[in-house]
Amino acid sequence: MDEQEKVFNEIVKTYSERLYWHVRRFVLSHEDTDDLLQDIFLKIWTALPSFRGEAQLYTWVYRIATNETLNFLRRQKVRAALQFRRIDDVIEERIDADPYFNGSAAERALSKAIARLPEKQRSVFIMRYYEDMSYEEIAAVTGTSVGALKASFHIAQEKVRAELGEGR
Amino acid sequence: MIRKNDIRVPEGYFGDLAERLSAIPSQHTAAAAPHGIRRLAPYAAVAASMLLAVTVGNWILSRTSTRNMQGEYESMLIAETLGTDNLDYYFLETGNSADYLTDEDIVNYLIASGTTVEQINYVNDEEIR
Repeated sequence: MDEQEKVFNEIVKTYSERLYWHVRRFVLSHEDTDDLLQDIFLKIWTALPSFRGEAQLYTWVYRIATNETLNFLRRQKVRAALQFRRIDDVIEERIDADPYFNGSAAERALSKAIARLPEKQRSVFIMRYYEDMSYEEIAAVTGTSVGALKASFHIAQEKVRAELGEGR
Repeated sequence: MIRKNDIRVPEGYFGDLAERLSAIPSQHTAAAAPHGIRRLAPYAAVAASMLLAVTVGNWILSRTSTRNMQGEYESMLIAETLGTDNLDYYFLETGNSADYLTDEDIVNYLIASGTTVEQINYVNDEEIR
């Protein structure tokens, strides 16, 4: 086993479960998450030789995972639009049909409200609320300033509160 | 701490996941560096593909002779005159299934061109009206 493979296996051991939860919060489906993880780790394997330690490994891995996930969601949105479907309806169906969802009605409503947020607000909300990442960590992953992230999170919180308050 | 109480995963999933992901290197490792006569393989491959391109190009040119182009031109002229919006009419003469776009082709193009969902919805609404 060469050096690259050893490093890759360490990354799999350390990050596979964490990245599962990270991606899962975005794509809302166990099967899609599983597929995406294959793509993400393939990308990590391919890009590993060019990683020079300019960022922390954790940040680099999360950045790849987040970018691949957001690309997947964009494709999903375009596909829905081409089928004359509103992406909100597609999201609601996915959450309601998820056989692995184990939460309360309130948690289901929260998932739907978060899924309806714009991309940047959704990203920062998921990473703050579900993954307890610091603003500095999120800034390193997304390439956005801490100030902008704080503003995004605040707006996202207000929107989610408003939606939940409206009883959607 | 990761909040995850509202989602469950299949039994044994993460162990199986790590095993599957660890197989990626063996599935995608490049071949060992060539030696001896195998070093010439890339150059031979380039030469072969150039020869193939010339051969295929000649074949295509011989197929799209003046007679065939004339027929295609007449079909398109008729289509324009009749004002058909049936795009199949333009492609049936070639009979080439590669002329038909898949949904994924369209999705890839829209994303690459930066077309927004709002623009797609606008076009959809205009077509319905």
